[in-house]
Amino acid sequence: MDMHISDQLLAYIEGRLTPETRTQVEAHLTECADCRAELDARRGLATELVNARRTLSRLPTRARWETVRAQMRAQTRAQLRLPLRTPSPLRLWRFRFGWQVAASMAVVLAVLTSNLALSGVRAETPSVPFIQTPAAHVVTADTATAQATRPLLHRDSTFTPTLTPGP
Amino acid sequence: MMNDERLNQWIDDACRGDEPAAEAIFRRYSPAVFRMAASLLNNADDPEEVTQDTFVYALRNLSRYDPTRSAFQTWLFTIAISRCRNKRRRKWLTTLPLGWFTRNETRGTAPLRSLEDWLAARGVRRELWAAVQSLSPKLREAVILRFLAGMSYAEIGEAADCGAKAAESRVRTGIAALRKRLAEQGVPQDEWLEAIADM
Repeated sequence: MDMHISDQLLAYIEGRLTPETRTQVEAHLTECADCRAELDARRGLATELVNARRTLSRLPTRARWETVRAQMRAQTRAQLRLPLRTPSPLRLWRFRFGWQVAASMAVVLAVLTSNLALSGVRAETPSVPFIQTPAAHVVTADTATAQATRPLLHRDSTFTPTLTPGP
Repeated sequence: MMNDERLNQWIDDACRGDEPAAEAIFRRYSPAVFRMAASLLNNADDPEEVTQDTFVYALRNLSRYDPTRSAFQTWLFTIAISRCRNKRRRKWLTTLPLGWFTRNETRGTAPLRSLEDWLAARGVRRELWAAVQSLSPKLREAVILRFLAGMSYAEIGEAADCGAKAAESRVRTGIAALRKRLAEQGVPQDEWLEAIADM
């Protein structure tokens, strides 16, 4: 039997061939008894399968909506509880954000440290007058010389006479 | 074919959490999904589970359905086919050892028999059903989707994720294989010998 025609038989049965191919197939079928027999057999098979489909369409379904609804509700409840099961901050830091968090924390820490150091000096300065004695307000040549030799940020009550109120 | 506007309304409502709309979708489409799963799995127990799982997934992911890409039933079949494949794979893994070690084991255990019996009682030839089930997984799936689920080749290509051309080729090869299988079985040899002896 011509294998080419064999390949065309299902398309012929289903009416999917172009008019030209259909004419060629029909011409071959008039000459070839084997192909005619094969066509009949496959057509019978296709018909039998389509009939089986009709029978199957009467198969009662046992899938239950109540089960589907219950499973959907259970999944929704599980989803609603999901926030309680979110990873701990440590896990988030380790696995999700990693080095970005570490880098940004380092920057923030550095900025905070420098700010605290500067604000610490500024904050301490006004407190000095409360432990000062009135006599220390007088700037002498000795104290002026001594101040000039001291480090700028040195904590010394005698360093801020002009900021303190008079007695 | 169902009214598209009505289906779209059900889908929209179900997406917004409307339970009656979800139930309407289930009641409309579950018989077709169940029958297809029963044919693919060839047993009477698992199609129920596959159908329910399919709808739980589909109804929770309705917003992912794209009507421009496929018909709604094809989308449902795609989900169901994937579950049937997994189910069959697991079943094969669990039942193979019994088949190996039980000498008298014939093809088809009790649950497999029941669907065949149900069909045979309604006029479907046992040999035909057995031949369909004996095809290789890809051919069997294509033949069932084409003839027992009534899908077009484009729909089979979409649902089986193989493309329309491959789907057509698989159905054609499947039919040729079925024809060969049934011809081989044909008339038992002793009857045939008696028949020609009488001539």
